[in-house]
Amino acid sequence: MSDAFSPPLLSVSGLRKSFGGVQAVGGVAFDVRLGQIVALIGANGAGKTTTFNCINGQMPPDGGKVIYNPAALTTEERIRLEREGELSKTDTPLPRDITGRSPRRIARLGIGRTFQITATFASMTVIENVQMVLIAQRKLWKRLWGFAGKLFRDEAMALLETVGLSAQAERHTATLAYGDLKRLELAMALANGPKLLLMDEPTAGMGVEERDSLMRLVHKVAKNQNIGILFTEHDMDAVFNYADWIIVLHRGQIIARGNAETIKAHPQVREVYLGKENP
Amino acid sequence: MRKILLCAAVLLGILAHTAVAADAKKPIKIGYINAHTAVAFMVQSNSQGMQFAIDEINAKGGVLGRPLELVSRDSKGDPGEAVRLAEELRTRDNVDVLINCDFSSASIAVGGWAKQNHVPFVVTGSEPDSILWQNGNDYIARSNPGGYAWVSGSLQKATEVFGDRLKNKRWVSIAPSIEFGHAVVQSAHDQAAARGLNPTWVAEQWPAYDKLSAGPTIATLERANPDIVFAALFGTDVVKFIREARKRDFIKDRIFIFPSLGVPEHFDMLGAEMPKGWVTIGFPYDEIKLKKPALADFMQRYEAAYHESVKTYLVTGYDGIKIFAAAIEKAGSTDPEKIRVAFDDLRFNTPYGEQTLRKIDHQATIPFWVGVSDVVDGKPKISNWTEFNVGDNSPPDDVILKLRSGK
Amino acid sequence: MSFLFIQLLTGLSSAAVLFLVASGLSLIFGVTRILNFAHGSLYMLGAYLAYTMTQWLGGEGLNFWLSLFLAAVSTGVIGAAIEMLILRRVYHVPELFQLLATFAIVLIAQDVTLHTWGPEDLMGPQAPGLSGSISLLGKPFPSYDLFLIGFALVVLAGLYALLNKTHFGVLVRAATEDREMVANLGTNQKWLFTGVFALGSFLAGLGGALQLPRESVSLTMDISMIIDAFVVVVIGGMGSLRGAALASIIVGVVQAFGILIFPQITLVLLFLIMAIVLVFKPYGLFGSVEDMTVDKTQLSTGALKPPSRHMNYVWLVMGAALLALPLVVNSYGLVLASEMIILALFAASLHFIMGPGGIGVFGHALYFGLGAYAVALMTKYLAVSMPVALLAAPIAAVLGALVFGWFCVRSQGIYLAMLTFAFAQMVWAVAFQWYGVTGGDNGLLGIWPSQWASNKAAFYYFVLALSGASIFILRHMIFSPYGYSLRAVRDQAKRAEAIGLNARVLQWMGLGLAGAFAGLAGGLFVYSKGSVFPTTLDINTTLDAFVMTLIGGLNSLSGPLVGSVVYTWLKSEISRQTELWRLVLGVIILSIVIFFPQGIVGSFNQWLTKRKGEIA
Repeated sequence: MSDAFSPPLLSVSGLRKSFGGVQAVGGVAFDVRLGQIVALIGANGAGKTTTFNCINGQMPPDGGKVIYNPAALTTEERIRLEREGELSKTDTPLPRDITGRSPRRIARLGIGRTFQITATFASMTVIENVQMVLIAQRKLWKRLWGFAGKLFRDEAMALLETVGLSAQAERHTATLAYGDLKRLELAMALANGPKLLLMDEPTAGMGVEERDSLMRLVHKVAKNQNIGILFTEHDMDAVFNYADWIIVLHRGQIIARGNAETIKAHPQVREVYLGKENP
Repeated sequence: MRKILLCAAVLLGILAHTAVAADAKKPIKIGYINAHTAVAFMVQSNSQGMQFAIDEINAKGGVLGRPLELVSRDSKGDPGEAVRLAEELRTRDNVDVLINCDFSSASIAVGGWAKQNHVPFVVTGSEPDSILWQNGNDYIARSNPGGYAWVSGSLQKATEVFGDRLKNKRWVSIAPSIEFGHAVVQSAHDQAAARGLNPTWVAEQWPAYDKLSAGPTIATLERANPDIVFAALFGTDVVKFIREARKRDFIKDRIFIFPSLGVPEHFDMLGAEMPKGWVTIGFPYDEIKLKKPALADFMQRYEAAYHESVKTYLVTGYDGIKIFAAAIEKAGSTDPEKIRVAFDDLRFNTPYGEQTLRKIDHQATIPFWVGVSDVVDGKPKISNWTEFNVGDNSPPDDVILKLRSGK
Repeated sequence: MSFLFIQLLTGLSSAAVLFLVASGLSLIFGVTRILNFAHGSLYMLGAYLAYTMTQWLGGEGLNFWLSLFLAAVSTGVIGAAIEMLILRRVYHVPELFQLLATFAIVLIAQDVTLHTWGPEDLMGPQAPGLSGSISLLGKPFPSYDLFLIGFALVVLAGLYALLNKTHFGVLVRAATEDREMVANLGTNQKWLFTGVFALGSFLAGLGGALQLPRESVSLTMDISMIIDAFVVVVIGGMGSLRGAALASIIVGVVQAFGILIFPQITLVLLFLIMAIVLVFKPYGLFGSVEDMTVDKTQLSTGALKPPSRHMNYVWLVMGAALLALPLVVNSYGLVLASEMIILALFAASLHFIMGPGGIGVFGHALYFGLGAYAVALMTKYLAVSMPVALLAAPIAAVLGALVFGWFCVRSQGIYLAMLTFAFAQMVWAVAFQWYGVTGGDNGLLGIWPSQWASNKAAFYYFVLALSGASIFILRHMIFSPYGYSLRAVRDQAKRAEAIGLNARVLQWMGLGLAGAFAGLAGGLFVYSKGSVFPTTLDINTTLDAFVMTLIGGLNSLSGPLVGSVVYTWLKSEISRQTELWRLVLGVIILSIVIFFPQGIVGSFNQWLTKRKGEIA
């Protein structure tokens, strides 16, 4: 399904990060493409969280580049092509260097995100959480008048429908089951119409069935909406069943990449990683 | 829903409760606003003095046949709160007149309110003269001597003691940065110049009241190398100042004019650590009473009743009540306008004998004493004292009238 | 040269006592996360106890030192008792409520001290053998001050050894650095907290006792010391011992030299140092961000719903009742009602920023006072009419809020709270010490409403209309897109950032908006009193707003309104009934914190929900 030859959506190259002299990530490079689900795995301390946080803006990397839409035409190229009368599509996004940008800026480019520990707005209802994202996305946060609860209700409801939460729309988030919170997070991440979704351990802390149903949902959304997804994960079933492409980190380096079969068969991965968890 | 109804009910209940007016108004009520929780040491003796006067008057049948009653409220030293209390005392507790012992800012604020609302008001513990002059009005009277008189008496005494040693010298001042300090230091500047002392003021310090950092402040003053130190500190700052000044040899070979040093409240605190030879206001009651039988009598009765010695603000509180008693007697009623008029040249009884409220500003022209601080047998004392009178230690009448007219 | 040296030593000796008190405060905060407002009371208690001990044992020779030591130990025991009897019951409540509880202890301690030792200042003996001075570079310097510097160094070394070499110390450090570890301690946690509280109180008591030879013991020692100690702890970084030490030295020395250079602004200086440090190091010299993130969301997390239609009717009924009020009550009733309504607006503005905004502002008096002084200064110097002057109030407050707020939103949690406090104190000090313009402590007088509003009923209606509209706007804004965005930042800062919200800008705006309404309240307040005083800017005004908002409850819209009415009423009623009003008020506040940590309205709502549940 994933087309290895479609242009990359996110390109990471030479990513490095050290903490007090200890190198956590040492020169990591990979791409994420439209509609592709990429899993970033590795044992604790392998550097996957650091890699992830360097991409989503949580921490600035020491070196390397993170480019969003790397294959898109740059402004100069566009101007040149336009002059030559060869530019057909003008509404395609520009390539963006997001290295070390703040999470806020990254979010504004249309990159969605979910958190390892669910991070919803606890004082709001389910639907209000989604409405809140829509309000932020449309830059209405300066508006001091009018009820926020009346804005974008239909749109928010549609998103809840997508993740199967429409029945719970008016419930208070504090009363939601953990699995439902995860779905709500997904709806919130999808609300700003992302092309790329960054998911930090989406199934952490869930039961087996919940886990599977959430991953199925993620998979469906990615394929239906043609979204690129990068996620980190501990659970190997989720990774092998749903990821199109798997990147294995060990001590800050990529030791293997490929589809599930390739990885399962990879000797070094078996030795340092799978061997311990799946004897 | 129920919640809001409850709130409404509570709110209305509260307000309705405040609206209930006391009907039985047999006694003449005196509303007493004091900074009990801010300057407790002052208010304690002041209120005892008032209660003593009231007990005395009531024992003799009251005023116009009605007993006096004191209604006491704590302003916390906050002038805004004092104004609110004035309003509350007047309209809720139906007091006839107001009396206070508070920070001068609160006295000024309540004075303004008194004029606006036509309520006679006696001040018993605020020295700044602006209460009666710049901010004065006919409804206010004052039983304690003012800052101008303190400075006037002190400079006169200093001249008497030190003579030409005061002339053409380097002066520094230290006073709290409140109205009291500013007023007294300003008076010192004006009066020292007027007396031809030709002072050069070389440094000044304005510590926050009750927050003197004695060490650095004294070191800084010393750096200006003054000959004469004019100080007007109060309360805890006095102890800090004296202990530190002594340790730093700041005291040696300098003349100190420190009007507020000698109030009995400071005496008790300082004990044998009282410096010697400083010019100050004082209340050598044990010596004065030999010449004033009324005072001897007063002291004996008071000490028998309260087992405590007589203090400054106790007498001013006592006098404050006596002023009202006399004024109401003279006015023949508790009508505020009549009391206001009765204040003019009012004669009233004090432990120092009969005294007068000056017509132009309703200042009590009472005696006060200035002397030199001393320690005898390990006890602080005022020696070489002279009796002054507030009436003789004031600016000329036309100056006061001009200040009062706001020009 | 010798002068500068002496001045430096003088500064260091002030730093010594400051360090003793501040280090205790910092240790307590580090472990228990309680910002102990009562630390100043413990310091005062130490001084009073030391006085009493020297009276019993005599102030001569060894007995003097024994007295001081016993006083400090007794203060430590009292501290432990306070921890076990009171604070243990409030560890689970939000940290601002804990601050409120310690404030209640301050009130109680003030009355207890007054009635135990009487109102007069007491002067203790000099330290035997140290009552004189020694000559340094040809200048006399008090030997006791020199002793204090040395003593503080010994205490510092002792504390350092205690924290690094003993099991207790390891626990203390671990608890300070890792919150989760504390939770895993189980029963040991109780004793760790008690132990740290006792140690901190011992240090405070020691600081107080050591003041005996320097100043008289008085009833106002508590508040002056707690403010200084707060400043030191915040500058140094909360929970950091070396921070407290370094900050004490900075504060002591800068103040010593400040008196030399700026004798007129001695009060401003302290807060200026704190503001400058926090602008460059938003978490103090040795503090860390991690300290703060834990408790931030605890402020208030409950759901907020726009008022239902029923509710709106109820509000209408209540409005009608308020309109009819002048028919029912006398003029004092109107004065009190006007004041309550103005304070309700003030509290509502604080609620806006503390509740939905999630920002613990501890200097709300700043905006109130700015508005008040704007009105007064405009009237006094430009002779403008009431409506124009009132317009200036929110404008001045917004400007102040935006300027100071810009610095504040760089910090978080308790640091932000203390930064707002520092700015409020700075402006207070300016109003207090700038005699020529602000009238100093006398304030500005004679600022009465325009003719058409001078009647008490007319003024009441004017206040009701303006405050009512403002409260309505504030409440509405909570449910506006902006209000939601602000709440989103409070609920989940990371997520808010990830959906593209700028937390700092939102909070900055929030401070501005809350400031505007607080300023308007301040402006109205001036007309209700006919005057303005520096007290509108001081810590008591801040505390009043704080208490009103918290006892009402942060999670409900009517909380601040109920809180302001109840608190204003309680305060005036209790002080009518008894001279011990501080004691009674303190006990009431403590009871609210312990038994109704949701505030009055919050607890009432909870009770309603529970009852409904039982019926169903």
